Amino acid sequence: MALLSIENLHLSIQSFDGEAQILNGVDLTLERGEICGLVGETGCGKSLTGLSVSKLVSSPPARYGQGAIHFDGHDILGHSENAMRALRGRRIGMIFQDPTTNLNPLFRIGEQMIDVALHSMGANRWSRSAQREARERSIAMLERVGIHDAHNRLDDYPHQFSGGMRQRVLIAMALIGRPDLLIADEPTTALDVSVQAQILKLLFDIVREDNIAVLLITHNLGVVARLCTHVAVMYAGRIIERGIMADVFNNPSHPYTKALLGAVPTQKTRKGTLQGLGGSVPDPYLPHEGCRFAPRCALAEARCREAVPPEADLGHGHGVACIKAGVSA
Amino acid sequence: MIRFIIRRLVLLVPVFIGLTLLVFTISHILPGDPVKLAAGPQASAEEIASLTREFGMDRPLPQQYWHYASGLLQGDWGQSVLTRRPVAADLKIYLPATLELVFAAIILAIVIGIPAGLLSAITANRWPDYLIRILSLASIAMPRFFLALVLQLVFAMSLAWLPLNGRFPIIDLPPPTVTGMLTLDSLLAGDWLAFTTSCEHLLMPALAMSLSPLATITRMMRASTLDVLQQDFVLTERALGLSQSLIILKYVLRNAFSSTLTVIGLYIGWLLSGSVLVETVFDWPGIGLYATKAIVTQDFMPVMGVTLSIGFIFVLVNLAIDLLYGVINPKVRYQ
Ligand SMILES: Nc1ncnc2c1ncn2[C@@H]1O[C@H](COP(=O)(O)OP(=O)(O)OP(=O)(O)O)[C@@H](O)[C@H]1O
Ligand code: SF4
Ligand SMILES: [Mg+2]
Repeated sequence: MALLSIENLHLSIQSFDGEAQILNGVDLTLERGEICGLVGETGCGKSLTGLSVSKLVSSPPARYGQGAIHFDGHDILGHSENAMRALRGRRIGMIFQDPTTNLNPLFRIGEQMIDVALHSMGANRWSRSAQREARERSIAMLERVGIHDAHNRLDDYPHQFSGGMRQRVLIAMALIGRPDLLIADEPTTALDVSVQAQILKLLFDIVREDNIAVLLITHNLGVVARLCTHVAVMYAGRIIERGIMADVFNNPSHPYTKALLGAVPTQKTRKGTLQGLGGSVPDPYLPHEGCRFAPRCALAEARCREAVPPEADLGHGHGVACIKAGVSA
Repeated sequence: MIRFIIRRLVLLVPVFIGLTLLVFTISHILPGDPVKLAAGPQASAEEIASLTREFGMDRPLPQQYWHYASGLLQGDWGQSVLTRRPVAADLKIYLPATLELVFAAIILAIVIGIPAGLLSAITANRWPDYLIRILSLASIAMPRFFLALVLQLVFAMSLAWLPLNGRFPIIDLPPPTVTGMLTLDSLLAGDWLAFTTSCEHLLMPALAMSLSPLATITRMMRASTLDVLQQDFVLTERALGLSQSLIILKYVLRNAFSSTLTVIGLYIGWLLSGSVLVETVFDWPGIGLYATKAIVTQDFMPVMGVTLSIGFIFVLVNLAIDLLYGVINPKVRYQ
């Protein structure tokens, strides 16, 4: 059984403008040791998919419709907050985008980290020996992510660290419980270009060493090509193509994936615009039928708009949600 | 840290020169003659003239100011024209009474307002939140003297749980004066009976006075908690499995409190200068009553003494709050 499987996940968000259908049947599986890149345009629902795995989307305003998430036998969406806490920080770790806002500015690094370590150990907060052990683990983990002199730096506040160093601290916090799954939501987007590669290398060295499965949410296809074993392409709340990274990159079969990959080499294309692709992301507030990519698709025809295209299997788990899958553009 | 305090204290000097000048000028350009008022309607022109000379009010204003300011430095705060008592001696009695009241009120407001605001935020738009919001709105709308009267009616007259007014029963023995605040002094003296007696007297006026800061602190705390709950680090703390109670009571509380802190400093000044209503209703011998009496008789020296001491305390309190802010917020501390 897969470590993580998301099946036909639907999520809507209630707001003043009405109800927005954000996730429209997300299907995704992740085995131990796999590193899956989740890519797609801004607003397509990548972050909400990642947060759903730890049941961190607050509902209301969000509401789950059909679908389920299974993590190592746990029915995530059916779990209580307490049951989820037993997974968070212990079996599922998370890293977010901006290291300057994801650490609490008023508390020493050590204080925050030791609390996380104590939780991951399942230890009594008030036990002195547990405190000492948590402190030692924190120091070891900080050293492991390349923070020197860690036992002194525990007493420093977040603003005394650079952005890259803060992200190292957050990586250490996410991995201190030796989770089976790490969800990294654009972990380097907010960092200086010069340290991005460093942080990614560090992260992936640890992940491979500890055999942690990773869902890496990113906009950077180059990073996916270098680091990921698998890739899933998302469009308007659905995975429209997924499979082994090389299969998808060498043989992109959904018109959207083709456009996305076509956009990579040209450095001049602005973020958010895709080469050879007019139009924009569909409005989640509008009702829709059929393939949501149809308005922008060069191959679209009447039958595309009638029903949601089912996922076709091109072999080795290479799935494509397009009725013309395999047909060359 | 030490340098910060010294710098702030040095900054006090121009503030006080400005304050004395301002108060002095205003009180001397107001129409009316305090000496005439003090001397009474039957006084003859010579009597008034000699009184005026006695109080130095026939001299030019700059000279009067110089006399007053140099006196201040030697601890001479001038003299009341009306009672002829030295202002410094009066302040020594009345100021601690008001301070005690104001501190008790603000402590009540903090002790109730912080948890109430926190609770209001974490139950946002459910019934505890609605209840707290309605109550705090009501207490902002309700005049302080009205609450004071209601309290007296209920707790003193009907239930007879608390004394109606006053600060300490005349027949009882007050603790030896150290700070001038009876609750503190009785604790210092280890006199338990005097402590409970003074607390009983303090409770209702402090409650009446705390109403408005309580409501404000509750609302501030609610707003800043809601704001903090939206911060990324709260999501990270949740995502890494910290319990809701640890997140709220440890991590969110400190962040939310640090933005509520400045309001508390402002409120202390506001309460000090607005204590007169509550002091009147509860017959509390504080500077509010003292200053009001002085104002209506245009007795300059007490008015100036009160204004200066309120200004002084206000500045000190805000210095303390800034220091506390630095303790809570490391970014401020290291600047
Ligand atoms: N609390 C919310 N209320 C209303 N709409 C929301 C809320 N959170 C997210 N959304 C909407 O859900 C959609 C998906 O959001 P999500 O954050 O998952 O996108 P994303 O793919 O991660 O985008 P990005 O690449 O910009 O991070 C967006 O259109 C967003 O506007
Ligand atoms: S299903 Fe039709 S509209 Fe959708 S991507 Fe395929 S060809 Fe284009
Ligand atoms: Mg996102």
